[in-house]
Amino acid sequence: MFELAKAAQEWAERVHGPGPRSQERIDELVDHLLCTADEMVQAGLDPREAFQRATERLGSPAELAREHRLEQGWISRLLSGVKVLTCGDEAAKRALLSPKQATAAIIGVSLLAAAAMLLQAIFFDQLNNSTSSFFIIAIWFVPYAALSQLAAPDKRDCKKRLG
Amino acid sequence: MGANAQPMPRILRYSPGVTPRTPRAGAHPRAHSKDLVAASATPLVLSILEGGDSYGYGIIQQIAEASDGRMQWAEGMLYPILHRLEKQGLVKSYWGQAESGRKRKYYSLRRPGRVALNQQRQSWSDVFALLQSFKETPACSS
Repeated sequence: MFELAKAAQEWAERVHGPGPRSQERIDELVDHLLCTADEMVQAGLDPREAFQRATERLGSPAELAREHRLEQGWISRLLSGVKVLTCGDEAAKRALLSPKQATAAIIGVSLLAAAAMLLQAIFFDQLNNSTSSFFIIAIWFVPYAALSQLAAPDKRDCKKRLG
Repeated sequence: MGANAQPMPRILRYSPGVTPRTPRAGAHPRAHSKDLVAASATPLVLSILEGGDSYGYGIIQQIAEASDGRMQWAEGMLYPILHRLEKQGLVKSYWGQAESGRKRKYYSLRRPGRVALNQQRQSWSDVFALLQSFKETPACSS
């Protein structure tokens, strides 16, 4: 048996995900979805079909999620961006970065990596290997791990999104 | 369009192929440009709220009905607009209860919103008058 309210709730949660004011946005979206779907059901449509059409009328989830991110502050945007990149679907990733932006991001990260290696060579060449390794870990691994944890602290959340 | 012009959401679009309501017989969605739909969204939302408090789905319905199905929005685009207007202090929101018992977020127009609406109306009126004047005045042929 298809549960319209449950499906609407899950869809809205997938669009907005966790974040500041997300619950408000989710409740608002759920109300809109159910208004549209209820009207279609009353007109004789099957609830599953009504739900499908109601979501289509709302627009692409990836683009809605992108709009939601734009409403947030830069820290939330950064965290939700990492979340999309680590466990978002392909549509969400495409909505996060256009091909041009993705290319720019790859070039930017490559330049940062080159700069880090250059700095390491300049400042730590004379030091032992452990200091050098620590530098690399501090520059790359720690921030990435911290961001990943903050963005997707719950692995079940990631699985839910992928599922 | 005046001092209150603001960037519109990227997802704002016109979808001529899908009608949210059955339009009057003979009425067809017009292919208004994306830019026009984007620019008109704020004054239209403010105008609806001037008539009384409303909520997202209600606003979409009013637009579709008043335009006889000619003006259509991707429904999801309305919320970023409402949230931005709220952030700018032009509208305020509050939670209420729908007849079904569901939680529902309502929006109402604030005084600065009324001022912004009047400015937008004046701007649109100026543009319309200018368009008309060019239509009525023949171009110089020399």
